[in-house]
Amino acid sequence: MIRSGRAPTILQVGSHTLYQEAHIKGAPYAGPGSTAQGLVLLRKAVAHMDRHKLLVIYCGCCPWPKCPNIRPAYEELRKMGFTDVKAVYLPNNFGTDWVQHGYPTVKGD
Amino acid sequence: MLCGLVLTLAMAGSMPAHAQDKPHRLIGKQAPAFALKDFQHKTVRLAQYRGKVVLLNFWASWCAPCQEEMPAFARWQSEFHGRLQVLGVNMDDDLSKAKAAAGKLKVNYPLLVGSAHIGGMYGGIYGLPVSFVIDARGIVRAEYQGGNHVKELHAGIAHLLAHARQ
Repeated sequence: MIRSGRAPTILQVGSHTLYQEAHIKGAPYAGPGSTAQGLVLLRKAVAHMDRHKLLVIYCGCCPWPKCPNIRPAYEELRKMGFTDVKAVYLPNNFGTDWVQHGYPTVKGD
Repeated sequence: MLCGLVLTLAMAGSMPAHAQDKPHRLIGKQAPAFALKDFQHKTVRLAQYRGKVVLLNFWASWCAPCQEEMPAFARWQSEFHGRLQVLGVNMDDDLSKAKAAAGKLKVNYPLLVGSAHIGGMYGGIYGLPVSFVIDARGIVRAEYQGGNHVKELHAGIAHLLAHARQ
């Protein structure tokens, strides 16, 4: 994806406390998708972006079927007119499916 | 790397919620000491429960699997009264939501205000729920990630308590 020249914008749309512990490098905080305030933050984060830009959102706060944040964030972005929105599939949580695989993370705000 | 993990949301089916085992770095080691404020602003220290088995549960109001297992923890707090102490460490960004959830769940054990710092002390709490079973000497005996571990947790606690009697 990155090699193809379509480097995505990655956004974390879950808990800020968990974001502070570890998040994908270069992914700003834009959540939580389950709250009105979180969606305001998400809209602000992408307000000036090209609506055809590839956006990748992720959460990983809970097992995928129980995640309260991904779907509302995805739907909000689609409602805003973004045509290329993807979600990172983390079946268990961010720790199990990302951190423990040794994928890069950073701490803090 | 990202490509392999990215799916459109429309493709998301229902996945089993089993958490995979993670490296249990704390098992067999002394549980990291902490002093946290509870929801009534009182300081609670892990050390004050030495001599009891402690179930240390990280949870949040937005975490459905957490709220599914918390009523069982409240029952155990009564069932094993005096020998088990359940401590809930809340990881919400907004404490008012945690307090509202706690009221609905009728939790009968201390609920503590968590943070990224305490999460880091316990090896990183990157998803919820996560529970640690700590024995009466303060040694971490088990860690459970994700929901659906109520039976194993109960058996583990009962086992520790039975051995503590001998």
